[in-house]
Amino acid sequence: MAWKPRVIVFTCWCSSSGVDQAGFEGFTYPPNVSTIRVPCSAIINPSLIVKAFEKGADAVLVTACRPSELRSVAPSRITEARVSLLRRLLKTIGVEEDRLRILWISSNEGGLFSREVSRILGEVERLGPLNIGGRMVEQG
Amino acid sequence: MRRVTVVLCTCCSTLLEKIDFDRLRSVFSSSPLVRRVLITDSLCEKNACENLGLKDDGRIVVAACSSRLLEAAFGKPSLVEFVNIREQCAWACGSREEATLKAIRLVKGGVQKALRVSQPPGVEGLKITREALVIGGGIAGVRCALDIADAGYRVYIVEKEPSIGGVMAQLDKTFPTLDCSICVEGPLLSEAGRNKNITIIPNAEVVEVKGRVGDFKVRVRVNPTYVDPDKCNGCGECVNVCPVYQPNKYDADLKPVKAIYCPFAQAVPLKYVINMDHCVECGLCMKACTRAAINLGDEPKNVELNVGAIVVAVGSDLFDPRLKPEYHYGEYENVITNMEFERIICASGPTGGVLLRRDGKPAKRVAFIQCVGSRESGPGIEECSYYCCAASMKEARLILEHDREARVFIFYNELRAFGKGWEDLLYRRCLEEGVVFIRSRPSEIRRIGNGSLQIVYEDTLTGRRGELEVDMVVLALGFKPSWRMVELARRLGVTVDKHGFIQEAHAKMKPLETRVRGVFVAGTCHGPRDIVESAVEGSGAAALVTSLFRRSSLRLPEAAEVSAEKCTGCGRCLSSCEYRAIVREGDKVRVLESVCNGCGACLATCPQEAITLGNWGLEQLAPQVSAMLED
Amino acid sequence: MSRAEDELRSIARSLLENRVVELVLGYERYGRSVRPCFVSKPEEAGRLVWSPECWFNLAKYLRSLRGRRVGVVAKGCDGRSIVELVNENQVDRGSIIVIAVECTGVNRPVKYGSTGAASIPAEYCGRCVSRVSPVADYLVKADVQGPPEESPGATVHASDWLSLFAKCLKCSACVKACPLCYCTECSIEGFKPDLVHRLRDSKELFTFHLTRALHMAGRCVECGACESACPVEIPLTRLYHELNEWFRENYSYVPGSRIGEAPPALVFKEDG
Repeated sequence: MAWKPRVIVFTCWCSSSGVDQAGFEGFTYPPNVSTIRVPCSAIINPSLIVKAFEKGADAVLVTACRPSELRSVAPSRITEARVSLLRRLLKTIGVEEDRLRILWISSNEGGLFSREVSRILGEVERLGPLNIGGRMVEQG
Repeated sequence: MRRVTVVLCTCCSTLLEKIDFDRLRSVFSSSPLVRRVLITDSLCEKNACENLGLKDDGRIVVAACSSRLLEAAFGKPSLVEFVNIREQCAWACGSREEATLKAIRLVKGGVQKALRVSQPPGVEGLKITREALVIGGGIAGVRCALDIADAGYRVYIVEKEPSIGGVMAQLDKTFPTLDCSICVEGPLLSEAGRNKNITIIPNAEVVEVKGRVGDFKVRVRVNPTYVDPDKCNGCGECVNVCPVYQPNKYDADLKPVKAIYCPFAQAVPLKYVINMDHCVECGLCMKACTRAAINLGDEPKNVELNVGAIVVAVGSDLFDPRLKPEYHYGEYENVITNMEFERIICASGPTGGVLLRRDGKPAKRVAFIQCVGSRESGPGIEECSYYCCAASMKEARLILEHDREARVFIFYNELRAFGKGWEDLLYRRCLEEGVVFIRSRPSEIRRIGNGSLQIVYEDTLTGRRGELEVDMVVLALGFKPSWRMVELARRLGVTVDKHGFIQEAHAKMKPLETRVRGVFVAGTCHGPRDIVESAVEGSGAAALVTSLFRRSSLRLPEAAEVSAEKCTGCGRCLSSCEYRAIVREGDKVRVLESVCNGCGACLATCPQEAITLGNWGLEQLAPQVSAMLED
Repeated sequence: MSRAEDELRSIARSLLENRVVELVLGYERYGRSVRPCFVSKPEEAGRLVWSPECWFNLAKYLRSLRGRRVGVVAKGCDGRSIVELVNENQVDRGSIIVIAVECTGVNRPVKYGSTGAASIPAEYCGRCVSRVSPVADYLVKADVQGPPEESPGATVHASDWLSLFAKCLKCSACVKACPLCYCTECSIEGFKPDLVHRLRDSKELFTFHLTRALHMAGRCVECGACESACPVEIPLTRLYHELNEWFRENYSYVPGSRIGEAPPALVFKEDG
């Protein structure tokens, strides 16, 4: 079977409705794209994203509410900062930073989610499998 | 071994063709982690939970549609993990095979999480003390208190002056209709004084606030007045014999009163007070008083209040015009502030309403200078002060009402007449009555002979320089947050904006709430406003208070909690909290429950996760992620 | 014996004689090398040495000695660690006497001994931002001025890192050597088995090292103690330096420069 990217999507409560809407509109995406809903994107510990890569994710997406849409600005900003730092770390150690991204999705933007996921899947397919686990074992 | 119940919903059988439920049942029945697997048709049905015997089943994984509706059905929602196998699985997969594999993966993740969740300590059913505190007895505070009292709840008004009324009581007429200010406010003040639900505590300030929404403990210090309010009947005999005069704040210090005085005729409460800074303790008033109401040995007292909500309505100060030396306020006696003008033009004021200069001569030519302390980057505030264009136009009309021969000039920057009736009743009438508007920010006021003044300016519409001679200059002062208010904000734990005005929780979504739950804001302490806006905010805050009081008990949204054993006090979490809900306490940190908004940013910042919030830590999420990537 | 060592000993002796401090943390000779030592009597001040072998970061001990008056010998990087510890509320500046020594680079122990030398100049000294501690109560100037010796360390390419991590034994020497690693339940030492398990599992070394890097980012003062302690010579300082660059670029923040700065914790910026 041809390799398909394994993607974990962390969705905040509001953007999760956006993802629901994508399903409602009949947008299909490969079953290897799995979503986990958390109450706010700021609760995502960067180590959790690292763990996802270690366990086999080829890409990790974080969907969050745009800072201006929130009751207060900061949680999304913090998420943005954390993802930016982690992308720098990945790049430094030779992992393509585009495997980790933030998508700004609000609760009625199912269409945007669909388009972005298609595009990103295409890019990740071109990057190929990440296979951290395999690479670590073979060196060690 | 903890065992989990797995409940699969077919969504009225619509998911049967999209997911192989038999396979799901077989995979999870054979798992040692799962106690039992149930398949049902519609979990969203009214008594579905009870019918399936799930109400108290402990840890449950519910695989169904998007969960918001389902959460309410379960008794202990924190032990239930919702997995979406519909919108984000069945509907999003191309084939039954794919959807089934994905559902298996998602539910495996859910099981891992459900094994590790725990019931948070009860934050439900917190008591609410249904009494409110309004700090500040100006129009905003009084309006707010009256509305809360009308709704049937007890409310305290703490006011630092001897009487409620605030600035509105000092004004002559209000814009745009030119109604007598105290005539409009007086009845409200009387009503507040009479209302059995309202307790006014004058001469007082809030010194300490502890507790949370629904249960604040407030310490109020009542300053001594040296006159027993229970005995004083307001007869005024003491005033006749008092030998000392002092400046009268109510009259903008323009006309002195005795050391023992009543603030103004419509004061509520109508009691006399002594200003000990000026009193010489001669004791003549004691002899004159027939009710033995005077007690020169009076001391400050503390009053402890227990309230469920606090409204901050303390107002703001005005800009100090001495910070603009080019206008020579304080130096040239005929340069006055707009508050002083209000008192002069007012019939109950120091001149009986006759428009006289400080030197006693009539003022026939009056100029107003706008934006003194507003819309600038200097010592004033950057914002527009909202009320002053309208106030000056109103005052211009009052001058012409008193003296048709007078000449009035208004030096403006932008003329703002946005309120209801302002365009017609103020601006148009001013034009009709011959008020001259000059677009300029004058550079200087000079004194010329016999007390008259000369304004040096450049008319920015014509570009021409000019010098205008007038009898009196009125400075339209901008707002300035008072230092006292900033100090109060600190005691309450609320934030102030960059100017120093109290900051609302969100400009659009929560305009009258502050970052501390249960503390609301109304009036000019919130920012530049006029009387109408202040009253509106007072009513708005009252609605929020009564809405809070109508609940039978309080449920605070889950707050983050710091484990004192694990916390090393490194402080990395402090800067991650936008709400400033985390504070240092000794060697550790602590989360302020009433401020925490449950976003979890601190959790993910703490390197050893000494902070917990619900079931959203690495302990729960890492196994879930791992299970979802296993194949 | 050098002039710098003399001066150091005399300062320590005087501090102990006058009971200004109870202990002086310094270095003493140990075989061909040096090791940390605690001197509590003025007559023992002669044990103290100062040489390029003094790679260990003595600030590590300060937290456990909190509440006692101690003197500590500090290179530039050790001093930056002290600043970070003060900013993170772990050490009280008023209770320590910092004996700053001007450092011209240290040697780190060679673990595999392939070249025959016991130690080589540390590569990270080439990036040092402050040779003298930013906080100092006494200053001992170097005998010989000049930049650190060229290190023979090879360059590390991005693609090398995963194989470097794979060599890791999870011995936690890096954590033990680092003054800023003081969590009572360290995330990577097994307190969170779902994140990193105590037993060696090659795949998990990815999470081990990336998590440590994330926790050091914006705090690491690049003293190199972790790298020098590592039995398999993983050039950790290099990795943390890259992340510190991110902080420099985005927050203009350099850890350990000034007392009173708040640790940036991936933060909400007021005007951000």
